[in-house]
Amino acid sequence: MSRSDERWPDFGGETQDAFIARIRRRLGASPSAAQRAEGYPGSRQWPADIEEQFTAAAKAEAFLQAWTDLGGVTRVAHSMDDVEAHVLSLLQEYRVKNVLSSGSAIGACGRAAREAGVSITSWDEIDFEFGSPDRAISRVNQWDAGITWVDYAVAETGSVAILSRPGQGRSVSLLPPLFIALIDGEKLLYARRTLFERVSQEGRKQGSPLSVTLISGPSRSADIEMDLSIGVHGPGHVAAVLLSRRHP
Amino acid sequence: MNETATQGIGQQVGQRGGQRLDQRVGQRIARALGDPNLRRALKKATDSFRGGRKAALPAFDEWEAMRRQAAALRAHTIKHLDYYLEQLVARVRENGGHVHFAATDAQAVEIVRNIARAYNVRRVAKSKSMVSEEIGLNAALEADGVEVVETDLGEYIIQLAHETPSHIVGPALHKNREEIAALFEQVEGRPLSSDTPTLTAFAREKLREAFLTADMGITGCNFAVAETGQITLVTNEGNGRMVTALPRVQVTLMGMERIVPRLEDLDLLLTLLTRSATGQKSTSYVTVTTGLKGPGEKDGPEAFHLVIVDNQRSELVGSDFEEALNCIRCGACLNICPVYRHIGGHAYGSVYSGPIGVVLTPLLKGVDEWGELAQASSLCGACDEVCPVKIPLHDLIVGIREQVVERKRAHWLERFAFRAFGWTMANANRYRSAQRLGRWLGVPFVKEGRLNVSLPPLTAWTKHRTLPPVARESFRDVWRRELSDEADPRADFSAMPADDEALHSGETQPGGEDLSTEDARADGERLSAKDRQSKDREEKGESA
Repeated sequence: MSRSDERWPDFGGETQDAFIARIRRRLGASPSAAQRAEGYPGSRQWPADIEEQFTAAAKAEAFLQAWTDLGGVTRVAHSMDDVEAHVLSLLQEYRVKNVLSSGSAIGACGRAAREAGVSITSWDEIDFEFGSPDRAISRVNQWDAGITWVDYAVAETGSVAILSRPGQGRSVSLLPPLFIALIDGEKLLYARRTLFERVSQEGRKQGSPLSVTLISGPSRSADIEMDLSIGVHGPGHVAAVLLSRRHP
Repeated sequence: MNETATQGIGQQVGQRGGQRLDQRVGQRIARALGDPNLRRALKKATDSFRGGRKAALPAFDEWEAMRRQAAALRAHTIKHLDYYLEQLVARVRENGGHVHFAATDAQAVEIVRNIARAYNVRRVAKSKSMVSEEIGLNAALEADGVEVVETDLGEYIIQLAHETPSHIVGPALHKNREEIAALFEQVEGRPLSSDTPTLTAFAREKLREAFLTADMGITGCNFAVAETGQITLVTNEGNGRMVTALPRVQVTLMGMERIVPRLEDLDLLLTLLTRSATGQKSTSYVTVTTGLKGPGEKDGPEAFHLVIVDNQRSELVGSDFEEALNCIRCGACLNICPVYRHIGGHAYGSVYSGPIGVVLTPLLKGVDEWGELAQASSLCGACDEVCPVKIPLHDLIVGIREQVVERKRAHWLERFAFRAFGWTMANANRYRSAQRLGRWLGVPFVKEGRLNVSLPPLTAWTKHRTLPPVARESFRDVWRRELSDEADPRADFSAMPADDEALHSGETQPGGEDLSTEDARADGERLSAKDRQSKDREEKGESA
């Protein structure tokens, strides 16, 4: 067997066989797959029915509290019209002129574009690659806000989760100084454990998402004399609009 | 793009990973203890981390259950490390990534240099990676003309200062804001205010350029998921996300033990990691990624290389020190350690400091050279108590000390002293003689009623503390004198009556009135008084 990876030139290092053999020698007898599965201790810290133990309203309340505790702003919407109105008011509050929106959130920015003249750039329209930095830097710095529908939210930790796919854009929630997360109340979970289980189950059926990003509050650092500063690399401001259809 | 502005970033950066240690541990400790700014900064930082951790812990039994579960999960993973590594490697390749294996630090460095050459890389944006510090990667890349920019704010600061991290979680906690402003001013070429928002804004602007112009991103790996072939990065600043979203090539350095079997296992370990490290329920960002963008995605790397590093770790597998591989790098043992809290990370001379560093450094870099680090512990066991994966750190530290002794690395004088001590203690007559001898030998060193030995090597002990002189009369002498009329000095205490009534009934028990120290007498009197009170109450018909 070649070193590292056969499809690639020799980068140096050791062969996989030699590397694993050294570990095996130290471990001694190699157990069967069945013995391994039996020995797997699991890692559950919540009861299996944790999601059933909370009503949608309780989860919403817990999430909004956790997000607020992390320094985020919250809005609760009861319809798509409501979502658009909240997005408009948030953009006005933060004096946003240019928004970078994922493909899915364009609709939610409609009123802001019509009524406040906010410029909306859809991620789908982006025509440059980040590999050509001259254009990227000037463009990236134009955007005052990024907005997207998120795939899940977690009440326990006050997190939103974004799974990568075309049109979503990893940078939308990362580069602009304000991030607005639109959350469908149906996708609100209590435990982070459940999120990983859902992603895992879906992954077994249709392939894992290439990237799962959990965002809990603004970008922060305490590297200067333990003094909290926000917006170091990611957004310094985060807002969550929770669409709660069933619980007005 | 402002070319001149970004050039400054790399030019400020010199050799760091391969920093030579020209001082022994003792000298580094002395320097740390003599630096009041460092000690203030250490106290502030470790108090803050500890306070956060304490406030974030759930109920004790719940936390204990989580620790036990995590310890079991980590132990299982290490016991089957060959299997999970093979699974991980297969998944990474299925996902389209490339895997490299480094037996040593030199191999790991060589692999990354070759990757950089293959992609014609000129600038690297790096998120925090302890393994890269361990192998001294930056210096090697810079020697090849590759500019390396550390993008974690703390790492950026110490990169500018040409220093190594002084804490796993807060690499620059030893720097104050004036020092940081001075470092940034060198890059900027103009004076900067030292307030946090100004310094942060400066770093954001400079590093934003680095993210957008880097050809390659290098990351560490908090956990790799065997089942999905993904790596997990935990950051608060978002630099981990930037590095995995913007450059076209991603390289991840991973210690071979940093693995979890399944995606859902992340939850428990992340919970323990962030709460133990900073007291957060979650860091601002958790990124779980294959290191690649998918078809139709506009951002994310086009190529992913995972470098799995052994560098002596396999020597720990199956050894008495295997549990050290369970570490999830939260830094809680540093924050609680009375030694770390006084001397800080640099005094250890290794990228891994605190109790876990005391264990890992000699094991990864050699007991002969690094074994003396094991003395940088009071063996109080506080590290064991806080470790979220229940690593018996203080047992492992004792184990390192044992190795030092076995390898005869202890000073000949120390070995002689302990052999003599053992010989003396093995025989009652020799012990008695040594006591008398000690009394006489101590006399010249008694000043103002205190024993103050200014003879090396004892000065290390007496420099900051004095001892009472050896008593004129030993306890054994007192014992013999007081007992000589009454009873055998080797009186069997188990023969004494256990109940108060017999003790204070006025009857003379064998040895009873010979508990002749002042304290014992006072005790007896107090008990008698209490006894009398209770008798008084009984006489008055009150219940006791």
